Amino acid sequence: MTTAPTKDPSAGSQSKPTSAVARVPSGVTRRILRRETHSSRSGATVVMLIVLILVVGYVGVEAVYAALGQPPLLFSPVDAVATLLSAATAQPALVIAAGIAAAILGLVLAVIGLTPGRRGRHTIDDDRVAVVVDDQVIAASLARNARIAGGLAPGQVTAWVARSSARITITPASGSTADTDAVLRAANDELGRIAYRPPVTAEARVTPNGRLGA
Amino acid sequence: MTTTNRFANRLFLIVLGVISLAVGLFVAATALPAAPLLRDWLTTARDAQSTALSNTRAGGNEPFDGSYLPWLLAVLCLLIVIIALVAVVTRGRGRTDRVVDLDENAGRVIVSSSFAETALVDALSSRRDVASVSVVAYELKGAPALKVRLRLTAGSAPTDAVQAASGAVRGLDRVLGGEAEIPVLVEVVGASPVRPGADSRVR
Repeated sequence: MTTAPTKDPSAGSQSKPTSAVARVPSGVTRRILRRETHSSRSGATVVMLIVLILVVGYVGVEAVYAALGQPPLLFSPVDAVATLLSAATAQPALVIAAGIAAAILGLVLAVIGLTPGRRGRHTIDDDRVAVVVDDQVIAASLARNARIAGGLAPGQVTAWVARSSARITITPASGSTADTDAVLRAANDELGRIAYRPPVTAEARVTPNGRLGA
Repeated sequence: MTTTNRFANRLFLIVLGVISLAVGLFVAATALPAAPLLRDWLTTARDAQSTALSNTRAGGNEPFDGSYLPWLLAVLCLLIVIIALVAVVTRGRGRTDRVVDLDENAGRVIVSSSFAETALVDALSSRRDVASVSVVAYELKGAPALKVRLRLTAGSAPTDAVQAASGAVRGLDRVLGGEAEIPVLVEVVGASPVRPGADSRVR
């Protein structure tokens, strides 16, 4: 995603400190940041490798039984085509269901392999180090600032951060109003000052129902 | 920051996915009542298979008088299992135990990564907005790299802690004094749900 400033609440703080003295090769930094903000897909790969080991290992054992002319343990791979043929005529619904299940599994795997797998993290520019920040941290910081700006109690503010937007939800005490403008100004001020990449824009929302005793 | 080959991960998942998709669709298609063509083809395949099995007798004594094709299948399975086991074991490698390894005329200089770890943890763990610090050394393209994980207390803004970490790393650069600086990743994570960082009630 390009870093086009979507909104400009504080033009002065938009000038990001570009690494003027790129003493660490920026290629390495970029590589680190890319690896840290995207999933490696190692989890899915390891799970599928283990499944593959179990299935192929079993087929191998059955192949040895078939080669020695022994009766199969459960099912001989030599009979696979014949079994499929008889099952397709005798139990078509079952075969169709199994085939669709395998196709769905394959589709899921292909999607896992093709999607970028972003990890809910933003980066901050720094001259020396590569920085990644969990979205959870950004949300917690926004919620705390909103609480201070709006004069609210800890349980009255929740914040939620996505790739390019943040939503702050305020639950005022019943009968009182919330200073949404102050909250939004504080949030955008903080987001402009810290200059996350990709940039985040905040929006504030007040829940329609207040809460007693909040 | 491990040395795991991510492209290989994705290629494996895509290839396995496409194979599974193709096999699944084929199996489902064979059972469709309107597709006798595929079943005819399967009948041909079954007959061809039994012909192949009877034509490839290994010619040994009992019990090695059968076809050698199942043996080929078994060997292929063994190969796949070995390759997959190696692939599983090599995921997530890349830790290293040294941050400096210089081999000069005067002698060899090795600085253990625990030196850098202690220095950075000492410099950062006393901060109020930092709940815990951990440092790990990795090998990145043959050179050492550090990963600093800062766990912030709930609600703290990341900038100050990041600047402190950057300053601590610069100090480490001065101490180590090499020409090439060590790449450093600062990873800022939130208070863990299991061990929450204290909310420092400052307003």
